[in-house]
Amino acid sequence: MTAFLHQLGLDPAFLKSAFEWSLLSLFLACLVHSFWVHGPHRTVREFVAGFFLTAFCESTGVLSGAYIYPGFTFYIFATPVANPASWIATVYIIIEVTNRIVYRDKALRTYEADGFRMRKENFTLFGGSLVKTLLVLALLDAVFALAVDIILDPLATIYNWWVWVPCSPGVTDIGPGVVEPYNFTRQVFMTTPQTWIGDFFARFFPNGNRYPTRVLGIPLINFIAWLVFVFVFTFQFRFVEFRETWGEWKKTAVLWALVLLDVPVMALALIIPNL
Amino acid sequence: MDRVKYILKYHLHVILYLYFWFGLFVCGLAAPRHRVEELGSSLVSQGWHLSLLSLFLVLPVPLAYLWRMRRPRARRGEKAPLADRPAA
Repeated sequence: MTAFLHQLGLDPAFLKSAFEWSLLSLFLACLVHSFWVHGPHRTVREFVAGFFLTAFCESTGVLSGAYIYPGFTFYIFATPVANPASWIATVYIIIEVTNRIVYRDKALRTYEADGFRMRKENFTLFGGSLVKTLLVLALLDAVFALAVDIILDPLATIYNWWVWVPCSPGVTDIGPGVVEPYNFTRQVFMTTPQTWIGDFFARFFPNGNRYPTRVLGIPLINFIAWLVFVFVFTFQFRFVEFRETWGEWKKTAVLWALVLLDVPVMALALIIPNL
Repeated sequence: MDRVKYILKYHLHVILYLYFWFGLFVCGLAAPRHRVEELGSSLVSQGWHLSLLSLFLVLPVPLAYLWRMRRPRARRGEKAPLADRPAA
C-alpha cells in the first residue's frame, strides 16, 4: 500500500503538506460557515478564544518538553498554525453534532442568520437545570472529541506529525537525534527549544521516565488532557451562549477572560502529573 | 442548488466529521508497518487495526446523528418548519 501511494506521488513530503493544508482548509471552511450562519460576533468570540487557548497551551506543552511538532511550514509560537486552527474547527463541528444528536431537528433552528434568539427554557434538560444540561452537553462533546483523538494520536506518531518525549531514565525533553525526519523535509523544531519554561517543568520529573503510562503508544495524560480541554472549553462557551440577557460584547469579554484564566491553570494541571 | 445550499448550511458539520473519519480510516490502512511498530503497542500492531478501531469509536457519532435527524414516518408527508426547508 505504501509503495503504491509513493508511485502515485504521495511521497512523505507531500503527505506532511497535505496534512497541514487539510487542517488549515478545515479551519477556513468552519470559519466561513460560522460567519454565514452565526454572524461575526459569535464567530470571532468562539474562534479567537479556542485558537488562542490551544496555541498558548500547546506551546507550553512543547516548551515543557512533552512533545514537539517538527517539519511544518507555518508556526505560531512553538506550535504549527494548523494545530490550534484545526482544534477549534473540530470543536465547532462537534458542538453542533452534539446539539443535533441531543435536540434532534430542534437544533436546526438555532442560527442567528435565521433570526434565532436563545431562550434557554427551550433547551434546558433535566427539568430546567442549566448546570446539569451544560455538564451533559460538554461531556458528550468531550467524549466525541476523545473518540477522534484515540485514533488521531497514534496516527500522528506513525506519520511523524508530532513526536512525544521518550519514556527513558533522565529524559525530560526531546534532545538531538530523537526525531527521525520521516515524512517531512523541513527540519525545524527537531528538538525542544531551551527556555525557562522547560527548566521550570523539568523539576517535576526528577528521574526522567516522563509519562510512563502509555495507551496505544501514547501517554495516558494526553487523552485525559484532550478530554478536559474540550469539556472545559465547550462548557464555558455553551454557558456564555446560553446567557440570553447578555449582549454580544459582554459574552465575548467573559469568554475571553475565562480563556485567559484557563491557560495557566490547565497548562499546570495537565503537564505536571507524571502518570 | 437550493438543496446543496440547504445541506451545506444545516449539515456541513456532519459532512466534515465524516470527512475527518474517512481521513483517519485511510491513514490507518496506508500506515507503514515499520512506523506502526514505533507505537510499541500490543493492541495496534498494524495500521488497519486503527482503521478498524475507528469504525467502533468514531463512525458511531455520525451514524447517531443520521439516526436522530431522520424524519419520523408520520411527518414525512408534512411540510418541514420554515427554517428546515430549502427554498422552493
